[in-house]
Amino acid sequence: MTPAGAYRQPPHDGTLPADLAAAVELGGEMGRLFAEFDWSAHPLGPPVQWSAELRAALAVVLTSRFPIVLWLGPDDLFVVYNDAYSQILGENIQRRSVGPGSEVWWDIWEPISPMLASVIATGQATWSFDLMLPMVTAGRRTERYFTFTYSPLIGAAGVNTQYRGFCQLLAEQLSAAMASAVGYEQERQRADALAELDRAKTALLTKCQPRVLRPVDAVVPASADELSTARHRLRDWLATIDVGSSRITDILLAVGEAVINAIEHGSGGDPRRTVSIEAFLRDGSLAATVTDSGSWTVDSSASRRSQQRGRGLTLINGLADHVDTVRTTQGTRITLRFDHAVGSDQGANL
Amino acid sequence: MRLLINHDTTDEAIVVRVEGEIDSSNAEEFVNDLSSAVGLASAHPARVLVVDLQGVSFFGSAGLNAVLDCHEKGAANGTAVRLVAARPEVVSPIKVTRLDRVLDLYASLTEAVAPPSLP
Repeated sequence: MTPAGAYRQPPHDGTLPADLAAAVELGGEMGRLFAEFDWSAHPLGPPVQWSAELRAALAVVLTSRFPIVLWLGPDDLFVVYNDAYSQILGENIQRRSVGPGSEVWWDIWEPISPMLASVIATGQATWSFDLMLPMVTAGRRTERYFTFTYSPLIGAAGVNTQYRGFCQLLAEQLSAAMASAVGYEQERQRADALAELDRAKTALLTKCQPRVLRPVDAVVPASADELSTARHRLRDWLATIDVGSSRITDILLAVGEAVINAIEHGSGGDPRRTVSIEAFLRDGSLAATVTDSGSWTVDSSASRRSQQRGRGLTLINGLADHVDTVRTTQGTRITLRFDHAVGSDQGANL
Repeated sequence: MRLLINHDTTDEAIVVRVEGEIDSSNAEEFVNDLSSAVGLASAHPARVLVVDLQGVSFFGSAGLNAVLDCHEKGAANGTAVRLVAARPEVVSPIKVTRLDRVLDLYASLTEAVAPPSLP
């Protein structure tokens, strides 16, 4: 589709074939960089010599608003990506396009290079769900979470041999960014920022995930008044992915208790703080994560209040199949897993 | 979240019917209502309070703590507190926390108001 008025015929100076010349015009900042790059000295050679399949793939990448990267070349796997991908990289934007993969992604080459190698060897696509990649950002290792696939580019003679291209679709689980808490006095701004992140993330993941895997997530102020909102949102989502009604009851109860703990103990009931709730399906199991920006105090006393709180923890432990609590200086993150939440046949439809 | 709480007085008991979702945003209201109902029931000749939870669609630790508190207040002043609980939303949390060993549960309002007498 050509948006009326937005498209203009690019000047054809012979350095780019007509299809790529059109694509770079529509490709925003990365399109401009691609057009300006001196390809004559690059191992991939000038784009006029590239195969039609590769040019078509590249045109898709440059003009898409979804984050996509191509890994090109028989050995070095040069990365070429689009504006949407560079936005996900954020401050890592200095990672240059068209560089060899092992240099551009030196910090995560160890986990990702075997995935790329397996696509080269078999042609089978990889699938990584919410995978933590310890990227170096501003000189520091930061845990970031991504959901992505590597798949082969198919050329006229099968899997493209001249340019072993790999297409990667990628969506970052922005929850990792949420965990990097800021100062208390900034919490209000943070709530606004989180709401914005929440919307962006929902839009991104809804686009990325197949229907049955579409996750739900919510960022709510740390107030008991928000409990029912969060619960209803989760319940509606569980119903759309065909979780049975008795299972929904158990999941809502256990996650509800985790949210109460996050509000009352992790945030001190301060509505300026926020609690994030995420849930997704993986292989028929449902995982729900509740994150707050405080720490759950350990109360081992036999007081009535302690007993009452213990009842919430009993519900969590009794109803979830697996409970994992991670405490950091920035907050507490509890993940509840419910096995066989939906039939395994649904996961197989992917 | 709005809770609907109705009180009813019959010859056999004081009956409290609850409708809605009970969580920590409204548990205090629920506790207060149960507390006054236990007071009413203790002055009633039958000394029986029936709490009908058939209209409750969410019942977490806040609800459990409230009915346990009510049960203990009743025990302290000689009033039997019976719960009508058959919905999984209510029965599941009671069983998981093993409060079914403590609380007096009935599957219907009829049974709770007039429990079948021993043969």
